[in-house]
Amino acid sequence: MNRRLRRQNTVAIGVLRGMVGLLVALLVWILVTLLVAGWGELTRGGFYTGVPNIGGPGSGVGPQLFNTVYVLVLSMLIVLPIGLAGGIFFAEYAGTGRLANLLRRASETLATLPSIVVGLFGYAFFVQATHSHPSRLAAALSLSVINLPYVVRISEDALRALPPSLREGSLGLGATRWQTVYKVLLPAALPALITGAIIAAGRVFGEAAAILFTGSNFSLTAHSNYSLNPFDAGDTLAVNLYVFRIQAEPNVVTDARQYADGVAALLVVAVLLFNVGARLLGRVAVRRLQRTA
Amino acid sequence: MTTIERIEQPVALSPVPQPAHHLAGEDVPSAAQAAELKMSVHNLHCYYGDFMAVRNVSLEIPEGQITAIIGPSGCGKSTVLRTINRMNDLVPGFKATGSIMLDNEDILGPQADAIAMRRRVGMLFQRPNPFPTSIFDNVAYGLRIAGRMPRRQLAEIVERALERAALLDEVKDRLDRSALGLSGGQQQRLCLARALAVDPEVILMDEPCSALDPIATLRIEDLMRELAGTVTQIIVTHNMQQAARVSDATAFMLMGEGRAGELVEVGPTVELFRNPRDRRTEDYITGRFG
Repeated sequence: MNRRLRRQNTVAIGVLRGMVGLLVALLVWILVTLLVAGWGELTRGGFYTGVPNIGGPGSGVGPQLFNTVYVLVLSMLIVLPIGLAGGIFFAEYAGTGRLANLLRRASETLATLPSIVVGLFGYAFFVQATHSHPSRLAAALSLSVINLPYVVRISEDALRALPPSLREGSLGLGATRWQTVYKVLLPAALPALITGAIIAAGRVFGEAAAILFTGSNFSLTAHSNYSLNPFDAGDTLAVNLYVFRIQAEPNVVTDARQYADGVAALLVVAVLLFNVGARLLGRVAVRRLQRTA
Repeated sequence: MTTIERIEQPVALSPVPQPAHHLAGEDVPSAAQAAELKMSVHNLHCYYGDFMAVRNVSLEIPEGQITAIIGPSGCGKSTVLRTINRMNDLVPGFKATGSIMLDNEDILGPQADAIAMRRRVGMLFQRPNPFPTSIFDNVAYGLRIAGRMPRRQLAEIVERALERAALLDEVKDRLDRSALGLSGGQQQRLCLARALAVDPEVILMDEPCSALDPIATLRIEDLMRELAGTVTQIIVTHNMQQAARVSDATAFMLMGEGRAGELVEVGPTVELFRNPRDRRTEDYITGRFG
């Protein structure tokens, strides 16, 4: 190797290391900042069980935590089957004809919509047009609109990434296309599908804009009940963070800042725990399906 | 392909011992003439979009025998094979004209049921392609998709298929383990067992040993010989020695005008390699081109 190439190589590796270092440093910095700022709230007993109160200090996040999980599950129940079906359609049936590509592009355009726009659409479509009121169902539907193109895309990519020989092996034994999809391709694509579902779920955790219009009751008096009725309104953690940080009266809610910091820290911790948990669960599922010891 | 690979020895000089049925050779009437026809290809043309990949191939496949299709890369031999069980239906823009008779049915005909046909015509691919499930589930797959079956019967058929593919002894203690843990040669025999489990009448093999080492290759070839008589086999290979070792009849294909693959010559393997009728066949098997 001549000297110039060697130097080039050294510089390239150095730059890459620097970038990764920067990334990790940024992540650590954000995490530490959030945890330090929110530590007081995270360790306060009443934080998890109490209800938000904009009439004074000492709010809790109990209902919001519950609502976050509720909306998450509800929107995943909506978006995963539809998104998976779309992905299967695009990967296995649609081909690459003109109409299929048009549909694909439509789906990708949907993915670029700002979430606030989807929130407004959700308000107009799921709330106003149905003559109802903001509800966790409307919020979950709006979140599904945000996530749907993403889930379609990862499902299609996960299936396309499988070696064609799997498909041929199954068809060669006299399987139908559909048998091939659900007996061979979906189990084989499961790890990638799980990763995609986790990322989609993570977006639900953090999304506030779409829920502000569709799921929140705007009253700022918190929902203190843990209702299971999807037609009830309910704020999620991210909405709560926004409300207390921006709208609460600092003279009245004297601890609004600490509380918001606590919510932010809790959000991050919840997302991390969820990711780890979902991945472990996914690994067990994959092992049972594929018997990869 | 490198020059060294290309200059393969013609079969007469091959150091590999010839199977006995080949030595019986000339004075005994060739088995190929006596056997019933299992399949026959008539005037097959294959197209990928506007490109004609195969021109006017006609070929007879005797029952219970091994027919090899040889020829240089791009000569259309794989296309012919993949048309025989309609695997190329998956390729956008693919079209085939002519007819391919399986017994008395034209599998290219408008009434043909490709799915039912593929249960009768199994396939082994270039690279082993086990499903990412257990060894047992791999072999049971073809049976399960065909319908319900009592567990015990299923287990018996799976075991017999593994036995026929000479894999049972190596895997019988770990049928519930992942098929991906097997070696390449074992995986290919597993794929053979998977195909045999549904009791196919014909097995197509698309260069089944190209990803295997010489020992694993010989095991597959031994198996092919053992299956001959009960299962009709068609093997595509660019390894002429393999064709000579294993097949009863050989078809030689070559790229013709407009890069479309054509059948140059077909005949009993021994004859084709000893006395090729066509000059191009002779050139190819003596390594003058290809």
